[in-house]
Amino acid sequence: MNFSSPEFLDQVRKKDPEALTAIVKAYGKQIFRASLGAGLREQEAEEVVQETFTAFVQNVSRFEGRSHIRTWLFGILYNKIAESRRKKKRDLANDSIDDVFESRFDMNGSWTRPPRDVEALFSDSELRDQIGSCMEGLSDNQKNAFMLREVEGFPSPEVCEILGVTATNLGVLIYRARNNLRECLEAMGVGK
Amino acid sequence: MMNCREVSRMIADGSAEGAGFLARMQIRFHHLMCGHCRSFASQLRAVGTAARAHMDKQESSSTGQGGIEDRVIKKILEQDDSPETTTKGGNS
Repeated sequence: MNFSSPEFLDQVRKKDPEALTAIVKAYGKQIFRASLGAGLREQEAEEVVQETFTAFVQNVSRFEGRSHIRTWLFGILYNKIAESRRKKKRDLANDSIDDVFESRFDMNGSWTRPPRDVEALFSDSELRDQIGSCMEGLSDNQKNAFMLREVEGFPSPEVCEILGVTATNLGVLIYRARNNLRECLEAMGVGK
Repeated sequence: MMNCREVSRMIADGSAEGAGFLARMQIRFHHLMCGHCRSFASQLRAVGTAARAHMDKQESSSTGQGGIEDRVIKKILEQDDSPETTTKGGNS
């Protein structure tokens, strides 16, 4: 089914059950998962998924087909997530991971405090469980960028379009997210 | 010749993936020589793998996920036909 065809979009606008089922089945799980990955609780995530598809149906006539339908849906999703956060007045402070990263090198750029082998410190299941609590410590932007790029595997240009950031900004977000997570895992492995 | 800081930064921010031939060769050569930078890259791979596994587990164990698609469709169909809102969406 071509989700970008005028016929399909017209069916969605008319709330044709078959068309709605097709689009929700195609992207519903991925959007729910992205909502969880953005740090929403299960119920909040379901509400945001609902609001995303509702907004999609209400505004479908504005879709001009210049981007992939998935990109448009995820754009709506992250606006909804931002709205949800504003409502709850959640605002995570910035971290100092740049300084932490720099402190691990000497003047010549060589390691003074080399990375530890986290795979040797934890089993696969331990790593999987520890990373969840580490992800909670990321800023909202880092979490969104990491989820889309690293977990969902979206191409960088699409992530930039969805989050409304430049390629350089995306690089900084990914760099900080990855470093925060590995520093967090290393810290959890202290004493092991 | 790139130092450890430069190599690790390029690996972490993803710029190594889109780097030119010369830079990629420098990174590869550096990794052959430097066990610490290999560990760093390995850490990042482990972080990605663990995050994907964590999300898979969270998704499958989520009680709210069962039937979420059906609930979404049902609610949309139940809603009155109202004028289109000005909800800000993604780039169309």
